[in-house]
Amino acid sequence: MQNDCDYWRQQQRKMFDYAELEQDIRIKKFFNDTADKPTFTYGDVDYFKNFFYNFEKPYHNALIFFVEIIEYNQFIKTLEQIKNNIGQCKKICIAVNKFIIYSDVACPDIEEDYDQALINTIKKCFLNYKLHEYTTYDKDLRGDQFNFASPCTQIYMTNENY
Amino acid sequence: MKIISKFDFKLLSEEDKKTLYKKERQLASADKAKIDVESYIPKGNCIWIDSAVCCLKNEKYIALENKEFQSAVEVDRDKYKIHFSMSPTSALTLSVLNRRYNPTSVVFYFSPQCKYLTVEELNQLLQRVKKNMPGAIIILAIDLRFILYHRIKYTNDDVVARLNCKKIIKFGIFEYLLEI
Repeated sequence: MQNDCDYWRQQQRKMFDYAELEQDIRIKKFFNDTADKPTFTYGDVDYFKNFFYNFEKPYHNALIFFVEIIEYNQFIKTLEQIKNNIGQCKKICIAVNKFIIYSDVACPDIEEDYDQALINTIKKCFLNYKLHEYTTYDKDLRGDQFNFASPCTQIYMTNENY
Repeated sequence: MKIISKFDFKLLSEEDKKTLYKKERQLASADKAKIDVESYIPKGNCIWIDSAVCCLKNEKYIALENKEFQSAVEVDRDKYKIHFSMSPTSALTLSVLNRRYNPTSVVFYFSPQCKYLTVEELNQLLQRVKKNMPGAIIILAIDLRFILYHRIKYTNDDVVARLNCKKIIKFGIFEYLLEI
């Protein structure tokens, strides 16, 4: 059954003659040369089920999506569990819809910029990985401009010791 | 290969606008309201801003809709009081409607006008409504997922506290009904 996120992705593509979303192309480009390698997936990754086709351990790639509402500390715990599960990978992409995170307890001492704080949280969980690149939601696109095309903060990391 | 990097309204068909209108307005896509906003509305004229209020099929409400979506609003315009504006929350639009209806309340029900704003921008919007419709209380049903704020530094309750509300009802992790 198609989930709401996937349904909405298709609705958007239909509006633009089935062009591909920029965020999806970015992911495909990153994994292009290793898509045939074993891949761990988490979250709303249905769109990529035909792009990756080897899901056996040990993993070479990891594609991780967070699009459901999640509390910040639970988000960190989930990242830790994923890290323990995947072992050493060569390439990781973590895509987070930054709007779905909330905190039960405020962290007043964290850095002022939310995007940077989110990226640093993920980096801390994956210390042995090198940040390859990241993209964030464009805050200038809002209101009537209605952009759901690239709502995710995407973080790409590589493991130099793999 | 073509890539979607951002939405441009000028490129959208009328059918697509209808899809977006429904997607962005809870009353246009659900069978019933998530929370009984109507029980909080005082006597007198009530203006609903960009909230698809016509879906409630209540003739006593006044609808102010976004002109961009005029073709997507499917109602009997002789039956309902409905106005369209390219800038529904501008001081001019608000003051014109205030002179005409002298409302006692203004409702934003998960309105796109309150999306993708910082907390400061949302406060400015609310103050503008207060200034141009001084006799009206503001009833705001809002999903904080669509407000821009630091979600690690602040809790959702911290954000709501910055909106100077008279009444706060929380009915979901991100969802609040506020009286301002």
